[in-house]
Amino acid sequence: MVMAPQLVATAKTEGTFTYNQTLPVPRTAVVVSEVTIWLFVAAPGLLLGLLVAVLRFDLALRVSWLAVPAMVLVALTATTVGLAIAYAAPPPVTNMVTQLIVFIALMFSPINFPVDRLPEWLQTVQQVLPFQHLAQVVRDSLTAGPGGISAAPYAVLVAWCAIGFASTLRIMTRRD
Amino acid sequence: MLYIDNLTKVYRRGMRANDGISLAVAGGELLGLLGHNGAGKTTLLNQVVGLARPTGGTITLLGRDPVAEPAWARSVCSFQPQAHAPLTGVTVRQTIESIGRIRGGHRRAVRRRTAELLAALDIEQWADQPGERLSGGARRLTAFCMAVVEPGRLIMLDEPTNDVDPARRRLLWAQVRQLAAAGHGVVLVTHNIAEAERVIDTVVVLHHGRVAATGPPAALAPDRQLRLEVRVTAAPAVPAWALRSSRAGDRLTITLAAEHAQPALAWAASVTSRFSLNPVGLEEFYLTLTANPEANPDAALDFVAVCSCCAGRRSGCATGSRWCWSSRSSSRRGSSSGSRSCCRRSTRPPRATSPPGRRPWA
Repeated sequence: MVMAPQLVATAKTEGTFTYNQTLPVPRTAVVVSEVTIWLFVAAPGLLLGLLVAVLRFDLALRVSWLAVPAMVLVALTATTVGLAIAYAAPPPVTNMVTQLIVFIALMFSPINFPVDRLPEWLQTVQQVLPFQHLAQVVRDSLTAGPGGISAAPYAVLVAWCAIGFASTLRIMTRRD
Repeated sequence: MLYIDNLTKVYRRGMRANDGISLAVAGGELLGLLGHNGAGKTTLLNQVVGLARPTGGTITLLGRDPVAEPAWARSVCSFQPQAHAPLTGVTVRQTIESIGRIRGGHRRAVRRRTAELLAALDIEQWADQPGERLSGGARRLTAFCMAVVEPGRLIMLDEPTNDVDPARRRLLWAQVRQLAAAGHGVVLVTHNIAEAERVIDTVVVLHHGRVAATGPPAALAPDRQLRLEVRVTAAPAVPAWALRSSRAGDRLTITLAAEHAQPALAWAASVTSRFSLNPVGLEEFYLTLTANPEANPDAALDFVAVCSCCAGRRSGCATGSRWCWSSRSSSRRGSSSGSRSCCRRSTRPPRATSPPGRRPWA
């Protein structure tokens, strides 16, 4: 959600973004290739993070069968939303928005702290934004409790992913 | 191959980039699109490959509508945009071969063609260098190779010689000419008029989004005028046969009618041994036309009188040009108003051999 849009913004500034639009391939192929690359880029970081967490914090993982689909959904959602922002906005705006995302995700989203630490109105806002759900599906799938896994965060992420992908495609196929 | 009729493009902010442009490109024809920055050249190309949607008019490419089928248009049309090609992290050879494969070329054929192009443009020494280390000229040549490694039926090149050194520009022009000789239609946008004049078959001059003039380069250049350049420190009296003269430092430039070539040579030889006599070229015409097209209507109209397509008769193509657009000239002269073409043919006969000396490096 941060790196992908920043690289797209750079490609727009350098002109390579326009060049790619002239390639004799379907625009969907361009989007799919971009998303695939980011999935592979994200995977090692995720796995290393887990490894370090297990070694350092003696984390007891109960990995659910949903772990892999959950990781893919998280990476897909983050990438498609990020690409949608970068495709739609001019490069300087993209860079500002991605900084804002880092800021909100780290400081004002219940990822590193419990949700009840936030004021109520912000808790409501976070119900709609994808950040807390991104964290929750990863946690749930790796430390599945006896009560099972809640479907709601998945639904919210699927919705964000669909919006991101649809907007990306819409902008890619748009003509001035 | 490509027919553009009355094409108009108005951007959302109201800028009229193309205003009733009509032109045609046949297979094997090399059309040069000239015009100032912002004249609408790139907008025109973008509409053919589906990057922009026309506001009015029609485009027909190989009998189909590229506006309705932009993905198909990109597959049959090779386009070198002005934008920089994505070369970061990949070598020149890898990039060219990848595009060849994307365009459907077979691995071996693409590899062979890439090697040929690298050798033909004399850029083999950079073939295995990563793109980010290349100079601007080498990047541009790589982008050219990417466009023509598996050439489509129509090839559109947007300022392919920018940043390229003079020696390699010649090599590039030779490649462009070869593509046309192989039957591809080529549309070339360039500001390098003096060089392009030697390779293009037809010129279209755009000015403020309109076609200001069109025709073969020889027909567009001012009718049978010569330019005499004399290097002389003294200030000799300008002879009576001079149409115009100007002086910059020790360089005296005189424009004259072709019939006065003999006396001009004799006069020049009498004042100095450093002089040259050349036909006035397309660049001169272009500058005159774009400086003030309304004040110089005859400059834009000349081609109708001497058009090699119909020799001004408006019937019976002499050279096989498919369509000969009379542009705004016909309505100005009060003849065939309402009709934009002065003659048409459905087929194009084989290209005549070029006159000797026209393409010194071909």
